[in-house]
Amino acid sequence: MEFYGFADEHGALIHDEIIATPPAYMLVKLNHDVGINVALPGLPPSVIGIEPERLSYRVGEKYIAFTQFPVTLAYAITDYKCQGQTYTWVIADLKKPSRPSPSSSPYVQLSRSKTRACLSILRPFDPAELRSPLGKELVAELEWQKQKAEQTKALYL
Amino acid sequence: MGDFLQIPTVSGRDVYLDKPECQKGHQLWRSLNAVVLLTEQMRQSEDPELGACLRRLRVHLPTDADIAMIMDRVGAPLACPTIIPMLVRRHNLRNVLNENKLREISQASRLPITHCLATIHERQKMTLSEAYSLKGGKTKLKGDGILSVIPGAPLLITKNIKRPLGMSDPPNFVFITEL
Repeated sequence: MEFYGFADEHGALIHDEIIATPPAYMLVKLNHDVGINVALPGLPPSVIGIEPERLSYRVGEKYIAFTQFPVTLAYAITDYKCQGQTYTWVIADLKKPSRPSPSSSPYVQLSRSKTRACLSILRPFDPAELRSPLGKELVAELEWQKQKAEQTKALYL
Repeated sequence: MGDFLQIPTVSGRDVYLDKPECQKGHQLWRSLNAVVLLTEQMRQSEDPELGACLRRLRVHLPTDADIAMIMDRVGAPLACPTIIPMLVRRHNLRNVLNENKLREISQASRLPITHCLATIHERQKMTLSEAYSLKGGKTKLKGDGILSVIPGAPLLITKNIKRPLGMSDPPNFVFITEL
C-alpha cells in the first residue's frame, strides 16, 4: 500500500508539511487485492482512510505511550517482514551484520523474486555464510520430516 | 511455524525445538501423523536455474556454480521502475535507507515531505529526541515517532486493521493484514 494524503474528520486533505498531532485519517492506496472492490465516495479507487491508534512501547526501563498511525515507510524492509512475499523486482542485502542475524536470511531474501534478471544484490558480501552448517536440532528435524513423509507416502499413496 | 529453513521466530520458540518453555507446541508438532513435503518452487518456475540454486541454498549446500550465479548479481543494474523494495537484515539500516530514499524521491519529484508527529502521552527514561526517532515495524513497536511521507511512498502496516466501507447496513469491511 502507498501513502495518499492526510485528511481531517470531514475527509478534506491537509496540505501542511508539519502536522503536530495525527489528524483524523491517513488516506492510503491499497495495491494488493483485498477481496472486494474498494471505492469510497470522493476518493479514487482503492483509497481508504485509516485512523491513528494509541500505541505503546517498552524496551528495558524505557517506556512510551503515543498516538500515531500504525504504519511505517517501506522503501526498505527487513528480512523478517519480506518472508512469504513475492516481489517482481527486489534488491537484497546479504552482508552479514556484526550482531547475530539468522543464517537463513540470504535464502529468504533471494527467493522473493521470480527471476535473476529482477534481482540485484546491494553490496559485496562474503559467501561463506551460504555454506554455514545448519544447527544440529534443525538437521534432526529435517530427518524426522523426511522419515514421516516416507511413512505417509507408504500409507496413503 | 512453516519452513524452519526460513527465518526463525523472534521468540526463538520454533515448534521443532524441544524447549521447556514450549513443551505443548513441540508435543503437538511431534504428534502429527502425516507429513507431505512440498518440493516444487512455484515462485521461480520462470527461471528454473534460479529455482534449483535456491533449493540447494535453502539447505546451505550451494555448488560453486550457484555461488558464482549469486555473486554475479552483486550491484547488477535493474531495468525497472524507480521504486524497488530493498531487503535488509537490520532495522537501523532499514531506517537509514528509508530516510535517504524518501529524500531522494522528494527532491527528484519535487513533492514536499510531510512530517506527522506522534502525540506523546507518557514517556519514561526516554528523551524526546529518542521518542521522535522511533521507527515502527519491530515486533513491539507499531508506529513512528515522526511519520515522514510523500504521496506514493510505500507503507508497511504494523497492525491488522479492519475498516468499514461506506454506510451500508450491515457494513462491508475491508481487512488489511500485516505482511
